[in-house]
Amino acid sequence: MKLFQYLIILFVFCGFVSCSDDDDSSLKNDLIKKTTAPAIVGEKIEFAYAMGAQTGKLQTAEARASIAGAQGTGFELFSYYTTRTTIQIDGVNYTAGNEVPVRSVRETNTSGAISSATMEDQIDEIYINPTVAHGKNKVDLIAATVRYAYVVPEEARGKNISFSFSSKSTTGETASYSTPEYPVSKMDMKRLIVMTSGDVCYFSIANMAAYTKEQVESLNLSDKIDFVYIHKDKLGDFNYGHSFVSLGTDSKYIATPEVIPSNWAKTKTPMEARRDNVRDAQLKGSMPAVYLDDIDFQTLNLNEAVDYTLGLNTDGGAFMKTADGKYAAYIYVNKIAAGTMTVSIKRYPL
Amino acid sequence: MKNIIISITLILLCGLSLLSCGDSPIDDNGLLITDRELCDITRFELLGPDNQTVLVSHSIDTEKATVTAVAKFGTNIKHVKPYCSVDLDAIVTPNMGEWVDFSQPRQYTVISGNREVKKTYTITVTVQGQ
Repeated sequence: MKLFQYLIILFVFCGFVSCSDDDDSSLKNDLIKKTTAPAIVGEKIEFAYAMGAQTGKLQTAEARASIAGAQGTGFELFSYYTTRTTIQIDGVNYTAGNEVPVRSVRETNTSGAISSATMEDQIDEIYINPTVAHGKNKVDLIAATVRYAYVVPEEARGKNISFSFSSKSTTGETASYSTPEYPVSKMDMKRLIVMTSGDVCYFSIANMAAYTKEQVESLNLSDKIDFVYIHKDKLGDFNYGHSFVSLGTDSKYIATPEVIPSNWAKTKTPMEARRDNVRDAQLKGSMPAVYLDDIDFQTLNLNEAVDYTLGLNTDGGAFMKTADGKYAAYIYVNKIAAGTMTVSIKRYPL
Repeated sequence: MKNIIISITLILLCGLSLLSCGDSPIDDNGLLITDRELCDITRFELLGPDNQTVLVSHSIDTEKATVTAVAKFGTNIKHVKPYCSVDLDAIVTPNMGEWVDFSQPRQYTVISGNREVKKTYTITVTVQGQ
């Protein structure tokens, strides 16, 4: 009976240590997934892969993705240390707390799902010993953290992806690390689309682009226009500001009715404003690390929504669903100026 | 020694049983019923789907038991969430903080802290330009 208990304990212990097979090796490794954002096709997922050799030097690092990455996938040539002082390197100023690049990889290669990095023999000593000056001396490369970026390919849309990292030292020791599976979003994203009131003001969610009236008519896109951007400070006595209206919105909410030709399809796009409280970091392009993900669109209910949203501001936006029910989208307002608005979009196929 | 421990334990249990029978009753929602008789709305708020206020102004008439509010031009008045402040220990029914259609006046009843006095408020919201 006691033997059985010992066996159970042994199995539980094995369960804890099964993620890494380098326990008997003098080469150790670890991994951090730097990217916290949802994985979107065309966007990067970044990893920091750390290696340390107790004997010999680092020789190679390898990353194997379950689905081959798109162009741009591979290891970086540089590792980074955090500077404690203000320094200037190659004309670039770094202040305390900044990450400073040092060359740690001699060459990189990506072929299919496998990316590899051949490590340098030596590295700037400050990377190993932060008390010495940058560029003063070089030492053997016995430990480094390399960065690997995976550009999500179209093939991975809506699937799960995983990665296996491995490294080898000059003494032949090896270490490896396998990640869990990460879901790839079905969303598409496009950033920084500039719209101008009365000109490039017709937005198509299906095309994720803004058009002029002439473009809409020459390309016969009127049935793909989901909203029109209008800027007018007041409509009568009331505040109007930067607003989105559908082609089929009640005319009393359209400050400049002449922007909607009478012969265009009068689609009604349900939309609901969000002011200040949906600051998606991917659309915004900066922190905080708050993100819209597939589930936000899967659970989006616009049954009670109207087909216009008035008085948008910077960092605000609007959830929408196309009238044909094909897409749900969030339009984020990056920047506003008189008569112009810069927006970014996340779009989810329904 | 054993008898002393048993005696102390019994005394503690008796003390606890006395404490547990407080004289402050609670209602069906677990809220304290007190002796307060006031039952007025003291503040009113109406939020849109983004949890931002849609109101331009509002006024409360405690004598007529009315709240009259004006919402911004373009507000989707059929999909808003009302919130209010009431006198201490009072409650409101039906619950606020739920999606409602305010295109018609709605009635909310404020019930005093002693649950014996009730006042039904009529809340009317108009939208600018309508």
